Amino acid sequence: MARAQTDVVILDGRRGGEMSADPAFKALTDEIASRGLPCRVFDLRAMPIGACNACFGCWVKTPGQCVQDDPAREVTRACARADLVVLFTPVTFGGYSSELKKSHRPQPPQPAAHIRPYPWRDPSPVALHHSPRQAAGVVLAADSPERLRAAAAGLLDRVLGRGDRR
Amino acid sequence: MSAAPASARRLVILSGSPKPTGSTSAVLGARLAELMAPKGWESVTFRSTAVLASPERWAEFAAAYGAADLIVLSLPLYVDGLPAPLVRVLEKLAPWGTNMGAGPEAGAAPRPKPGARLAAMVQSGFPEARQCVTALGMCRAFARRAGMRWAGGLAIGGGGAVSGRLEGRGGLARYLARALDLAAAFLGSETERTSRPRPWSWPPVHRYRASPWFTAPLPTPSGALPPR
Repeated sequence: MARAQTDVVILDGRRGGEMSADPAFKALTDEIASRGLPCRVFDLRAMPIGACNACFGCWVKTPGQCVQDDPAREVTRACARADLVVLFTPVTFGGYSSELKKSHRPQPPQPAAHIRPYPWRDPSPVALHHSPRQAAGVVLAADSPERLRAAAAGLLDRVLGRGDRR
Repeated sequence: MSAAPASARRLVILSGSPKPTGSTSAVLGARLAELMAPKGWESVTFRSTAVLASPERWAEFAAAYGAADLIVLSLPLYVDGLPAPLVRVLEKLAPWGTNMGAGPEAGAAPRPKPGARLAAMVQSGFPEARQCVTALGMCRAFARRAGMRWAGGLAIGGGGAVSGRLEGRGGLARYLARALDLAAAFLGSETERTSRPRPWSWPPVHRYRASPWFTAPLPTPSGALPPR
């Protein structure tokens, strides 16, 4: 059954003092707002999130949650409940910015949430198991605000389907 | 004219692992430094999390970075890429290579020594070494942006076999030790290759191999890694 609304979470990976990605970010958020979609933006540069120590505690100790108690837990909760998660980052050496990358710390249990630490205790799927939501990888690059807005609209059309436009 | 005594060449190893102890990346970096020492290389090792933690440590690292003839990044694979602290260090080293060109960090960034080379060792727990190719491409992109020559990279699968030390591991680590020997021989040599030889792997190990890519790949317009 189709959901009544689409919840969007944006992980904003822009670095402090970086303005070149602002037009693309504005185009994206404006397009989401114009569709009336509930949207929550995490300004990652303002969030003290520690580095992943690869302890795998998020699998075997506190499934679905990092053992470090910091704001990343709220990011994980929001991503788990969202219908669409947007990873927004300036391209940095061909990859993510450090700000977005740090938010990936509690993410591994989400794409691989079918891995259960104690399957003999609880054979049911874990709560984070979710229908696939990662559908597109798009670079928003254009030379004018209008084209950026059109690119953002195309991105949302691709991910959500045109029927979601309101 | 008498020949001047050959001065030691400087090697900086930057471990990108956020683990405080038991880091495979640190073990690989230490072994490479050991192998390079007899060839006249003086090495110093830093950890990305440590250099970000204090301005004094960063200043020390920046000075070593600016004087190095060869910089080696030794890192674990994190979600197909580099660990966040290491990305942050690279952003500070080459802010003009990101969208931060006009940002406040650009003026304070250390510059590499002219002619300096950059190499990388990327390891992951996946058995397939090819999982590390994307991260190696990022390291190569950084080298280009920072103005260093890309000396190649080592893609390592099954890194967990090291588990804190190489000695006495046998098995998978035996091939990894051999790959490091080859890497040190290439990186430490006076002469450099100008063409790209075929990638080589060990016939007996198909899945658990460490593919030596310590070559000097010809530049491609897109900056992408050449196809294997």
